[in-house]
Amino acid sequence: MKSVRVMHKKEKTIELKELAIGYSSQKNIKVIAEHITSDIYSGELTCLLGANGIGKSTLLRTLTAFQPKLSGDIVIHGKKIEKYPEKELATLIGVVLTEKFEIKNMTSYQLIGLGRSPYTGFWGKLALEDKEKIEEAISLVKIENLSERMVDSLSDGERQKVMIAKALAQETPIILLDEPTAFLDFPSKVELMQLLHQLSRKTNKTIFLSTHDLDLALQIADKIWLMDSEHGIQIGTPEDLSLDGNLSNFFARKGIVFDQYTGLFRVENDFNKQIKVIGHGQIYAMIRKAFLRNGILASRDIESDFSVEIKENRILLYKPDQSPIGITSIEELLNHIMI
Amino acid sequence: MKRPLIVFALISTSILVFFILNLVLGTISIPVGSVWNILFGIKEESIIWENIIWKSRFPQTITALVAGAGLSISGLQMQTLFRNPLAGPSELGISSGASLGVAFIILLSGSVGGTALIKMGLFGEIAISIAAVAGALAIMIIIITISRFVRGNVILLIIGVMIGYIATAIIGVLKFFSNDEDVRAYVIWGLGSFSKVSGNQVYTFVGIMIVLIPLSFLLIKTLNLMLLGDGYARNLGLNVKQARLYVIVCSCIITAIVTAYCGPIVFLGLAVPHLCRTIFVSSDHRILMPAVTLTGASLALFCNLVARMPGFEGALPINSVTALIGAPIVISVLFGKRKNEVG
Repeated sequence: MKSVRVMHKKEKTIELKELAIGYSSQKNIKVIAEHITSDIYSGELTCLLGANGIGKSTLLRTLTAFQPKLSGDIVIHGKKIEKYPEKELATLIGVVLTEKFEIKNMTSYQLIGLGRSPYTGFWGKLALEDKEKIEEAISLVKIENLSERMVDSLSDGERQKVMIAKALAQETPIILLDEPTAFLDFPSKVELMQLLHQLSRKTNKTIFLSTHDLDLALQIADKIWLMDSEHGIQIGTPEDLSLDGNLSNFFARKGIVFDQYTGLFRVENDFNKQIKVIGHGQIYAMIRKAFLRNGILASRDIESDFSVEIKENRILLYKPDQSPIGITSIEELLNHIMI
Repeated sequence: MKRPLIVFALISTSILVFFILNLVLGTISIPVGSVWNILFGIKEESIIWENIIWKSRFPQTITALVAGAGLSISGLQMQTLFRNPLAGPSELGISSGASLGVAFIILLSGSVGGTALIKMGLFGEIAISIAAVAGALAIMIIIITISRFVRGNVILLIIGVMIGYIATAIIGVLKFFSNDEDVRAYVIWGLGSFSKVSGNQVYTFVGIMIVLIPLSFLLIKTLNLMLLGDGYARNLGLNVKQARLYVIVCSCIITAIVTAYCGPIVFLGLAVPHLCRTIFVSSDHRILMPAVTLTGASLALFCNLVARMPGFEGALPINSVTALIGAPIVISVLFGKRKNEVG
């Protein structure tokens, strides 16, 4: 990326050694995932992918010390997580959670200001330095226009940005986010992921998040963690995971195809009919796409009753024993074919 | 930053005005000058007037002042703790719990010991206070346990009301087995009033509250963090379990002490925090805590004044007045919010 001004040194911030996570009660222990050994680096955006219920939230909760690990070690900056007192952890890990709160009569600025709590005194009064840090966080996330708005009037996307600013004001080298893109519309998702990616570069923070947005994660994340019940956790750049087949194995289930060429996923449609389509270019691709959605495979190499030809950006439909019909839109084409 | 200061000044002034009016007005009106003379011992005034001021109006006035402040603080703490705008000392059944504790003491003491405890002076007072605190805490623990399982403001409120009914039912059973004198003592206590506290009791009560109210101010930062919910609060370094315990104990003890001395007083604790949030347009407890303390005191003085308006023989039940003033405040605040949400 050209926009990177200062290249920071990447450092190991979180080391996981043979970590097992899950829940334990007096009666039994429920292991959600085990043998997790990996490192998370600063200056990178790491995305945790996995199906619902696989334990993404449990992993995040364990990393934030909200819940105890079962065995193994979480080492942050060379020190085991359980050795940190609560107050110190508050200056080490900042979180953005899925839990919603309803606060009336509080401005975004005040909310971001609460991120300074670990540094403020007994009454929580903001000192000059705290105010500078809040301003800095606001400008990093570019929400100057939101700072005087009441938090209960914000949209979901704006609210997430405010929460990210809160985490930045908290001045922690590590920021963990639990599904920050959930509930957002698509443009907001893209914007948020890009923002987080830029922040990881600009601030050299370790940013780790869980998400269901495969496409976005594969395009924007520096590292991907794939979590599933069979293989445990697979880690790598999106490209490496796609080259070694991990990604396609991972989501190898009906309805999803991993396209090795684009390195992205697409929806798989079964077909029960084939139609000959001759041509190239965008129109060809679009016809193929529309056909596939309707259970028809477009192919250059077969023979069929109906056939379609793309000639000089025009679509011609050949029906048996009829002269070619000129078609002006794909909708029209489908109407002819789908009778 | 200017607006809060002006409002604080206005509320403080209203306290002063209501305080004086509480001393001046009544079935017998005493001129301000004479009240002044009596209070500061400047000049001898009529002995009747002196008695009215010292034995009746002054104790009643400071009781209202302190009780109003205390109940409002307790209400604010509960609303933040439960993150529920409808939480309040009487609404969640905490006052009922305190009443139950008191009922056990007042009603059973006669049957067990043969003498009515209410007549036993300081020892009786302490016993009643402890019983009220125990009863309030017991109910609070039940409510908190239930609130872990149920989501939603209204359900919690309904459960609070139901627990209140159960407490009342148990009190009814206790009454049945008690002697008449105790029942009468309990019924009078149960009406709720700022005027039953008399003589030295007032100073014990005010003394306790003067310690408790500043103590509750120590929880300001904690309460601000609690607004964010457990996860965020914890991530910002708050020991959530401990903090919750402090807030519960603080708010229960305040409610219980007020209830022990004044009987159950409804609506003040619920209405005042809403009023303050609207007036100050803030959720910051650094503003809200002093705000509810002063507004609670002012509103209680006003209610007491209304209850004792010249023209009424005797006094109206204080709870009728607090409900008549408090309920519309709550309704208007809730409606106001609804409007804002839509618009």
